[in-house]
Amino acid sequence: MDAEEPVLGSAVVEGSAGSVSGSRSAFPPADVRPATDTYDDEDDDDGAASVGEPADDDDEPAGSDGAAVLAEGLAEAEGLAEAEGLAEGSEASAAASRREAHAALDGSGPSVSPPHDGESVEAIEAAVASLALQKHPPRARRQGSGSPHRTSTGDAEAAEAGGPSTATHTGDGRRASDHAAVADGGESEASTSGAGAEDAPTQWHTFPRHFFILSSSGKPIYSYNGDEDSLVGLSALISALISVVQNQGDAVQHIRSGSTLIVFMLHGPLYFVAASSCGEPATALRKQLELMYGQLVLIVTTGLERIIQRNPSYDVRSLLDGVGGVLSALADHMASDPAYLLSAHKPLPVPAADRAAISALLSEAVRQSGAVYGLLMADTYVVAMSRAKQQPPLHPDDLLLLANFVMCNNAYRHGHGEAFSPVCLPHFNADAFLHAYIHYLDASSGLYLVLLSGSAEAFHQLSSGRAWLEEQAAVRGLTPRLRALRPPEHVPASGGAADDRRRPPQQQQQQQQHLNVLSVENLPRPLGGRFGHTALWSYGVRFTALQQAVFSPPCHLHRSPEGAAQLASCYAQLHSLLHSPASPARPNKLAWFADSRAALVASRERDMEVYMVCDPMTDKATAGALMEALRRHFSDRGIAADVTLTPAAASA
Amino acid sequence: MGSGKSSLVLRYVKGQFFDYQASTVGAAFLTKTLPELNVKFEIWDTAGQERYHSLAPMYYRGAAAAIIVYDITSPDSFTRAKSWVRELQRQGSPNMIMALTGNKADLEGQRAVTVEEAQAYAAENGLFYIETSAKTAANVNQLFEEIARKLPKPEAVPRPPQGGIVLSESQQAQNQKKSSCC
Repeated sequence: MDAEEPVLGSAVVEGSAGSVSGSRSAFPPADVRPATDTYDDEDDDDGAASVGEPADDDDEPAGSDGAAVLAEGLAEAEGLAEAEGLAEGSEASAAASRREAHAALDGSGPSVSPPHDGESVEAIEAAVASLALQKHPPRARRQGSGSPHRTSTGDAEAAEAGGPSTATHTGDGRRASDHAAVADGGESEASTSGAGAEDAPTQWHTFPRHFFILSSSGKPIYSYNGDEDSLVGLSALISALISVVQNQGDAVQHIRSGSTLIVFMLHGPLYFVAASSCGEPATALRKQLELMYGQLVLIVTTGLERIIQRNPSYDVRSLLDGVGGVLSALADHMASDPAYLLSAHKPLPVPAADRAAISALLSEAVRQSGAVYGLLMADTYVVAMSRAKQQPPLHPDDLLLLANFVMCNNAYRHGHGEAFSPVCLPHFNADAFLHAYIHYLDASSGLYLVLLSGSAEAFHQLSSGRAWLEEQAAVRGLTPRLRALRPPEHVPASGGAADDRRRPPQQQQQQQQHLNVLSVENLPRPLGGRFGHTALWSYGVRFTALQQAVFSPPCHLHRSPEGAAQLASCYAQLHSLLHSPASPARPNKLAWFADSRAALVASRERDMEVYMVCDPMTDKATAGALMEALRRHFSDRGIAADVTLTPAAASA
Repeated sequence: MGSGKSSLVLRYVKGQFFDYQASTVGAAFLTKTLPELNVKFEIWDTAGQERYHSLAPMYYRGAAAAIIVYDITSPDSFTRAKSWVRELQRQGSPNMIMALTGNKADLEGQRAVTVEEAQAYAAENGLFYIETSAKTAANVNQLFEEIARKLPKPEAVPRPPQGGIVLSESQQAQNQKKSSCC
């Protein structure tokens, strides 16, 4: 341990020079003063008091002093310390047991890919342990003042504080780092324990989920909670963590601390960080970060990265005016709708004949207007889509990002003129804009048309294509049926629900009508039935060949925002179980996980992936039977025709 | 908060005003016909954000008029309005009518750009100058009507050089909104 500490010291210098206020004793005051001001005042005194102490320990080697400084500084940088506080006993145990289940299933132990050597892991572990200790300031200071074995002591203390369940987890963490120390190559995860803390709740603490984006020079770009200015201290910490591992020629993947999982994604000069205590697995958070990156690209293309590369000190926020809202809306969406995990289009159930008629009109409008793609969407659901000859099918992720972008701009919906906006589809061409003509056919149902063209001059053609489509739909009597389409409301707490209540009962009836194809209540018995009459609570089916997925509308347990978030995290867990096989050559076919909240089952066959969330009392035999029934139900051609887009539109 | 381009256009075209108007993304296209003046406005309401700056020529190319809007409570927005004026003088068509518009005139108490300063700048650069309030609708119609009057008469106009726009029998003016945002 002693031998490793100089490494830590140097990481402080490189990763967060001057911005860690605790480094006063190790660096000339001139370096430190300005940065001190950027910290929240409440922590300043504490920092000043604690940094004095390492210097008092004259017999400490210089390297160790530096390490202590890092630990103190990190602890001061608040952000993760609060996240730590979420490691309440019960949550930690749930997380631990889930991880064990995961491990048992894929047979590979905790998902640790070790670094070149143990150093980086231990370095991070030390940092995180010190964060945990922040909860007990006097002890933290004792630790910080330079015990060469503070990491292990830290863990022990954390275990004491957190109770038996946390202790289990600590064992887990130990195992992870031992594992890391003996293996070579690959990516690193550090794992350590968190102590539950009731005292000193701070701003970051109060949020279960965080997303941060910063540039490689440590400049804050976006924060999901709070504004990015408050990120100053935290971005130093994140930069330090990334830098410590980069010094080992490696890249940090994720850090688990109690029930909080922190996932890092480095994309050129952009750093993306997610921290969540909602129980999503790392794969899900990584996918969320990838989508956030995609959303940035959708708005500004990869030009953003080129700008930062050319001029690392440029504050790109001036280019990203208003983008924060779009990113936050995406984060909210992903918290309540697990469909993002499946990389699949989400078709809105529409009677097959209506869908065929509107798809034909859309194709003709695309042809007439010279558009590249035409989309008819409701919320994030696809009613119909069409593309010009020789164009590749739209990537489902691009479609989700585009839908989110459109829905974020109220002005589109409430008819402030015909909208024409540059958008970049990351999977189509991440370096260039397409031009999107966006038009709501019906503001109240949220049904909108998007025509994409490669030419900035195409506005008037696209506009007349849209006019033609509306005219023809009216002539053929499709308009009223289109207006009756409603996307299912995922989170009634949003504005949409309020609209719902104002709608006349007859319209609500219609909404029921077209959604009920997917609702659990309307599935054939014994699969479906009213809540309590069937073990099935919620399901999702991904049609592999079509790249499409359908989910049941939420049952009453999952209609609150919390319920929706819980359901989404169940699906994330399940998706991760199914898609992280012990060996890539032998993919998992079946996943099963049960705890006190729900029983989760997933299966994968060639044509279909089925995900089910069931009553926690469900036994495996019942779940298996339900699974088979669900598969049979959706294999029926008649049902598939109503709930999916035809392959011709989607992928031919 | 922007300088109020969308609010101004919305007030003029639809007679609406929203206290919270989401910032424009890309651009919005609106039309309004003034039969008594034989003019049909085709208005591009453009985004003020810096990242869309490079797309602006697409909207002002071939335009008959441009309205540059700034916020009278923000010196920054006035500075950016001036840089837009320079760009339009350099890149726009030479006959383009330019109107410099100080919006949010209802916020007299927070005024940061004086009438004199703006007026002097407008005179120097041959701009039509007016202060408006999209919120109270003050001077909004006057602004557009003044532009309509200044437009060349049909017989004097060969045919506005604009790509892809079908002209109807009534004279058309493609009118451009752009400006600083803040």
